[in-house]
Amino acid sequence: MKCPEFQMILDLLESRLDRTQAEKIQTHIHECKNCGEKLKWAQESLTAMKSMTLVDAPDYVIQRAISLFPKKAAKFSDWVLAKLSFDSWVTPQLAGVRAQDAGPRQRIYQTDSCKIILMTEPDRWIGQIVPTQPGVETAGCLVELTSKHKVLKSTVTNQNGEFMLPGKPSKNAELKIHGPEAILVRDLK
Amino acid sequence: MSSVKVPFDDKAKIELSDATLIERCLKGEQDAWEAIIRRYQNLIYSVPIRYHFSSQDAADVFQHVCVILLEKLKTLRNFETLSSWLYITTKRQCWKIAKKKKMETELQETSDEVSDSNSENLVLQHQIKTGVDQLSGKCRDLIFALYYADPPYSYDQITDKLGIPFGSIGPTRARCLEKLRKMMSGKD
Repeated sequence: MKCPEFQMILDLLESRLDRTQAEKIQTHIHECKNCGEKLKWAQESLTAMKSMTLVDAPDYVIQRAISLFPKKAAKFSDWVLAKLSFDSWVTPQLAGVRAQDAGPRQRIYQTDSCKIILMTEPDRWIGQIVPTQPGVETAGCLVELTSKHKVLKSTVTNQNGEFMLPGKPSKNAELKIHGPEAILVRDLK
Repeated sequence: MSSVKVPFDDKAKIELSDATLIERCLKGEQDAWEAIIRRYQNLIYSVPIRYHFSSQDAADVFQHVCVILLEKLKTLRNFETLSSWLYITTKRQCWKIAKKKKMETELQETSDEVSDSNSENLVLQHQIKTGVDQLSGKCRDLIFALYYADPPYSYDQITDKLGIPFGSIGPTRARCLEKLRKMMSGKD
């Protein structure tokens, strides 16, 4: 028997053939590797189509991921340098509090659109990006810990704009935040 | 010979291969990145959902996977099966987040429920859906009506709504599926 048309294979699969036709094609398929592969493909594909369980991601999730793409590889001049506006180690301690009890160092940096609250622990950085203007999105921002232009660690802010990066404070460490703006946080030691 | 830049319309976003999109991303084209995300969003998102993650945790997994994808673009340039890579990476990310949230036991139980063949099926479902999206309008509509719609359209409804004569539905669906098969096996 000549190889049946693909339509016949589909009809066999969907039980649209009479018994004699079905048996004839089944015998052929049993002996023909090519037709066997076509039947296998059709079986798997139609099952996958009929049992479709893929779920579309919500639009905000898609948009957040799209915004990860570095906007035209920000040039040095595009980076906004966040200004230090508070440092718990510089602020005078309350009367009676000893300097060594100061706890983890907390700093607040500021740009036009947000505040970056940063707490330095011996082996990690914990931070939060807080919008200071309406409509500024700080969830899902890519945060990179870099040193001498090399990315050491990176993470993404959660829905509250919080992030955590393992790493020790070092002289050349910088934080690059791909968020509402391309933000650079320096002087992290 | 200088290369001609193809305009990035919706059709191009659907039809361009993963390799071309990745190449364009590496040249800094935001549209190409968007096309990749839109192409794979349902595959990435479906993995944590299948493991019964909350929508918030699923969104976090999604974002982390996209960060990893962005970082690995250069190495994925010649990767044949981006869908499989994304599936495995997403699965790993689910385990990482489960570990962080100390919900490994629950994930293990769900993982046992989700057999390997089911998991592979997610990748196959995505590959087929992507292929169907690339078919011409008539083929796409017919395949949706016959195999994706729940409940599937009857032949009478197809004649009525898609304007395909009753007697042509069988041969047309065979032609469309044959086209899809060839496209997926790279013979088209």
